[in-house]
Amino acid sequence: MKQNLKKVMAFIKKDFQEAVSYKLAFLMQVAPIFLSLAIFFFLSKAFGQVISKELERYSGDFFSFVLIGLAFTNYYTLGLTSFSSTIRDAQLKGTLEALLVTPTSLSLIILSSSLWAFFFATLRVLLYLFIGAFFFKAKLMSNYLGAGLILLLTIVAFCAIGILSASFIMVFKRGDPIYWIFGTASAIIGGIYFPISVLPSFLQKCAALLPITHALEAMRLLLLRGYGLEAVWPQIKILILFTLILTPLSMLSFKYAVKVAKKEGSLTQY
Amino acid sequence: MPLAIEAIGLRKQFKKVGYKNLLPWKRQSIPALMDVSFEVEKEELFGILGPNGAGKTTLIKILSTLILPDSGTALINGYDICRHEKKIKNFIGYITSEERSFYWRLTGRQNLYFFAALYNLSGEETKRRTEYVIKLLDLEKAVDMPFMSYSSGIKQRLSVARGLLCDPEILLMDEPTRSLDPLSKLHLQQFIKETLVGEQKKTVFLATHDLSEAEYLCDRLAILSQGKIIATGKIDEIKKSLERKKKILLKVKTQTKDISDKLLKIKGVSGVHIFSYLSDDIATLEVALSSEEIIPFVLAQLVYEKIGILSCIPQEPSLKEVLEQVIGS
Repeated sequence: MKQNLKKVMAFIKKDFQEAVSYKLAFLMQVAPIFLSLAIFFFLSKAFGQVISKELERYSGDFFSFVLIGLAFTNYYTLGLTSFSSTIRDAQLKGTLEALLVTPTSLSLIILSSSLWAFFFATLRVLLYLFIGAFFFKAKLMSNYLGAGLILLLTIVAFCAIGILSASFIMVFKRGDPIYWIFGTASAIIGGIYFPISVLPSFLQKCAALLPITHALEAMRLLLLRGYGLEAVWPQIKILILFTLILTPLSMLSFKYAVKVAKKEGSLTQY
Repeated sequence: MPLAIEAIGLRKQFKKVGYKNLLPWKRQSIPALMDVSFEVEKEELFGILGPNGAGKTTLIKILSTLILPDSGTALINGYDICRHEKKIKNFIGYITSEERSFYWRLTGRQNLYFFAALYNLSGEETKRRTEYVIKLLDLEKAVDMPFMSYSSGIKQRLSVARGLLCDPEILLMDEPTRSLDPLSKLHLQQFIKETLVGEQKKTVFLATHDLSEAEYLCDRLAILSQGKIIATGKIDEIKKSLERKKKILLKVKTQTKDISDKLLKIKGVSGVHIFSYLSDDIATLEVALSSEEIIPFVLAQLVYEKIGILSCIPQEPSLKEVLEQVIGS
């Protein structure tokens, strides 16, 4: 356990050292965040009233609604892509082989390699919320504890889908149906840019099958309305259910994918 | 005491890549290893020699648990590569000539510290071992520069340093001197032979396609060709077992200039090469024979032709000549 923790820290340190070697990378992240928020701020001013009825549940402000969607989409995108991109990145860089001959399990290598990205995503989310609140006057409530719990559940559920996706990358190298299905569906009907209540009823039913729908719903009720955890209990239960089903499934599929790749001799190929 | 490495009937084949292979009934495979078996003693420098595509890298990747064999297995220090992957990784150091296996934007030291953590070294051990391997491989000047600024020689030395971090008993080296200039190559070869095997008593399993490197470094060799081991043993034993043509060096006293034609008429003589005329009547000839039994016939013919035989020395073929005969055919 202590050794594994040391390995995790070594990955974070290594990724930090690599990140700071690219001097402008972090600074260049700020401008796009500011620009995308500005676009939605003016869209909200121009058209926000059109869907004001659907937004009543979330305090009625379109900009604050989208701000939560955009900010937490960072975690959702990262959860879905970080593991597969970690594998692909290590295959492309040529470091995967050197990592795999050390007495470190592949799952630990992949989980640890993604941690820096999650840390970086947290900075981006905070930056989103700060710019949104400070420059564009989004109204955010301070139920941070509840938001933290939802975030944790959401990250675990997204990561499980991400590991499923990484299993496909491990075997097929490119062309990952899991990301295509969950990524595309979540972007369209997951409630990032508009409330799902504006969708036809059959699409609303499909949206209920995506963890992001419930995560964003809970997050908005906590941060925009200032509700307590008891108000988002139904979403918490659903996110726990997703986690319980997807986590063992993803672990099993990943283990199987590694075995197939080792058998085919394609573990380090891309 | 268990052997350092024991390969038992290893087989591996890879699927062919191509549009035809998308159809399950048309799938084809390329054999990479066929029934490969050998034994490596502890503290031995064992070489696996073969041309490109012979299966050397596949074999080393199987031994380092990166690829699973289709059938057969290998034991490292008595542990099965298919069942005891974790234990085996504690005994082995993998050294490759693949420069991309490092983080190019980090310094050599930062790379070594990172890999030391993955080898389960404690904070103090990490410092001690890192400083030790840096000194051992003469990396002091370069180690705090970014990896991307290194020459090929320094990159290769850092790869060896990384392989030695956890002080492994067994080193698996995949063409460690590839892309090095002759001087750096010689230094690294001396380091492997004298320091790693001679002083530190490590077992080294070295894959190479360089005949002179194999001849200089290895205690024993296995010759791998098209996935099959065609000979195993000490270099002299291999030469004897594979040697198909014998050669003799003759110094003769003769006035005759058509001596080559006369010898070539003997059944079993496949070539005559006149090296030199030492004086008007003394010549040195190299005669290629199908077997040693032909030598008396050659000498008899010379006597019959009234040619004085000053000396007759059987020639030892080089490993290169032997392999050219075997692999080339």
